Amino acid sequence: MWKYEKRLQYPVSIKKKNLAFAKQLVTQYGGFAGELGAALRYLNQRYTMPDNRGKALLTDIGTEELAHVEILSTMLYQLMKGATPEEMKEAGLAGHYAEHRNAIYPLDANGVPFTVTYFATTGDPLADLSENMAAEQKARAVYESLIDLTDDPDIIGPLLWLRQREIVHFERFKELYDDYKKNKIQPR
Amino acid sequence: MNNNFGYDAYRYPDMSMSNQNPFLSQNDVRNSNLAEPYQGFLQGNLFNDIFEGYKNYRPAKIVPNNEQAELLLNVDQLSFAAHELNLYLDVHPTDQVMIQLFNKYQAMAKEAVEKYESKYGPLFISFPSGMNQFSWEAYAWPWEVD
Repeated sequence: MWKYEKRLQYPVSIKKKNLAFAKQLVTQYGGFAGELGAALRYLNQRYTMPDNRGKALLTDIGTEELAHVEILSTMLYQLMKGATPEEMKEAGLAGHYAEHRNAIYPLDANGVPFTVTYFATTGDPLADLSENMAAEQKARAVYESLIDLTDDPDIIGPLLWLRQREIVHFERFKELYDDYKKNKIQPR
Repeated sequence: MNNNFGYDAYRYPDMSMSNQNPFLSQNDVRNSNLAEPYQGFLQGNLFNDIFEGYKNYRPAKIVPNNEQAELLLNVDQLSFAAHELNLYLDVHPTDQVMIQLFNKYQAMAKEAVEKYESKYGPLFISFPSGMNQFSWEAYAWPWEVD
């Protein structure tokens, strides 16, 4: 089970509305390298990890990714807050407004909705851990592209921080992967 | 609740000063690979040896503007430090030095949470509610800026 903690893991306070950037940033919520896919993939993979280390790591990183979903959601909410239908239309978000008004919705930067294929689970610990290592690298790369696309310090601060978390998670997955490989840990 | 701080990507913390945090002494972290909780939290990585910057960006410095923001930052950084050690210990569960440090930061984080909650309302639903209004609902939610 889970308990909610009523704070963000890293604080967000975006003062400038920016619909064009929200349209790009949304991919880290609902896109192929997004936090929602990461959270659900790790929490889905953990049952078939071969030992307690794997179960613990996937539970704890999966839980942290839910906190990152909240950071991304907060950024998107603040970037779109108070936008009028006209402003949404001008930013190419008329379709978004028609379906979701100013609510957030998990999509990629090209408007493709979140899909369950991002869960990518094989049941093989080495395949699943290397999937996750690749996912952390992809998310790091996308955060870098997003940082390149803005000069707002209120946006860059959280993006740098989220990017760094990908680096830490990659390292932990890799340590476990290397250990399973070396010790020939068998799938359950 | 989260609007009472400022960060500025162009004002950077001095990496050489690890004792900026009034809540911790410099002797708290003897393992030189580990950052102090404040610095670790700002850079999103407690483990200096795996930190990787991007271009010439430095981590944003978070500056609390009032007591509430300061107490929340203390919760944020100590919880973060404990969480980093948690992930490390998941993979290396017998590292005695890290277990000790984990226990220490957990205890400090718990204290920081209690200190925040007693003045500024619940972070956890387990915090007892006031008599006249349900405290959990009464205070601002973390995604609101005003």
